[in-house]
Amino acid sequence: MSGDSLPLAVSLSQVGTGSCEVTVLYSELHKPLLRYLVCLGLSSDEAQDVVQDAFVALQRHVTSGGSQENIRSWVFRVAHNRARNHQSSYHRRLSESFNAELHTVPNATTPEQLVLQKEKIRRLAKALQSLTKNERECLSLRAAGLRYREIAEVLGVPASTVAGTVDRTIRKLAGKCHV
Amino acid sequence: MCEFSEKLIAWLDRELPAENAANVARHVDICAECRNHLDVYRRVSETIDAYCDARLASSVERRSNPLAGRLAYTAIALAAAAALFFFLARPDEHLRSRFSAAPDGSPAIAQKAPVVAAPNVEKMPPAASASLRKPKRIKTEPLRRTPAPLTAWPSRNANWLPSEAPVYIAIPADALFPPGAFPEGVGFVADVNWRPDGSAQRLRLQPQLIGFETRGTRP
Repeated sequence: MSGDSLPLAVSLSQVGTGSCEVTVLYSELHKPLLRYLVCLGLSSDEAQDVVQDAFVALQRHVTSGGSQENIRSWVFRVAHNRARNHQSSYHRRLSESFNAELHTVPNATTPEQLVLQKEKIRRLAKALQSLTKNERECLSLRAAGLRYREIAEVLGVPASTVAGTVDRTIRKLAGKCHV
Repeated sequence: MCEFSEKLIAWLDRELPAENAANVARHVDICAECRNHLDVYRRVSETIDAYCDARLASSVERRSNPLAGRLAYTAIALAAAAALFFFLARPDEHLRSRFSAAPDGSPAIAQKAPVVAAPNVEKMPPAASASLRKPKRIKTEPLRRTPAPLTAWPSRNANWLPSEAPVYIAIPADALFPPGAFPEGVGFVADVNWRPDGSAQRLRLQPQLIGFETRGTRP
């Protein structure tokens, strides 16, 4: 089942206690989650499905009295693992996800800005191809606004590893992108 | 390289403990090299953000117009099919002129155009003929008939030997064009003309709604 926010809104409206927190969390994390999943290579429909699944799981988690500590990383971890269930597209597209042609560049108001921005993104996309899967996942989670500790929880690695990976990846990209 | 450079990205991400962050902040104020590095890292981070935004926007755009990509594929496929048809049709035109009726009403081929290799086929020993016809994947019969003179416009089968049955090969559309370019169930029937030496002379593709289980030779 796919759709914009409607299916998820229906699911959340049906829940009772705790739905307020989940709804607030949904409005906060919906877009970053979608962005992260699309950057992993999922299609828009698949990303919507995964986000919906993640929040349904969150609702069950909350109503069953599960821990609400580090709930942001919990949602991202669930979404990350469910994204991997889309095996056919995940592995195929992770390698090519940064290779896709971009038709839309937000925040480009003039044609010159659009061209410059596209060129920057094109160079970045080329540089991103040289990264490992772990480096790209780290970078995508960082771009989704997660702290190093949260990224570590999502990926199941130590926070120091995340810090080192982010540091190394940004330097690598800075050396290749010339932005 | 400055000893603080390893902490710059973590400082930029506000990931350092307060005490370390204060040290780095004081150092950045006085170190031009670190400020330069920070500027580069900040720009890379902004570009990554812009890239992720663009990917999301492009993804949503594609989703909101799901037919666009399919129509583009279909247009490309149709253009390719048209080009293929055009080039394959040209020999047909050539054959039309060869086989068009003469002013006296008799078939032109009987007077002017030599029947390609037909006399040689008749003279060939059956074994040699069979070996030359080997590439053809249909059940062959020994050539024993003299090609009858063509008395009427032979349509697209003009250069077939009259004793031969046409070969129809059903090809799924997905084997020729990108997946999704044609609706499921659409395929092509390849209409193949063979030269007497067994090589393919002309291939004509006709889109059809077909059941692919019907592939094979049909009369």
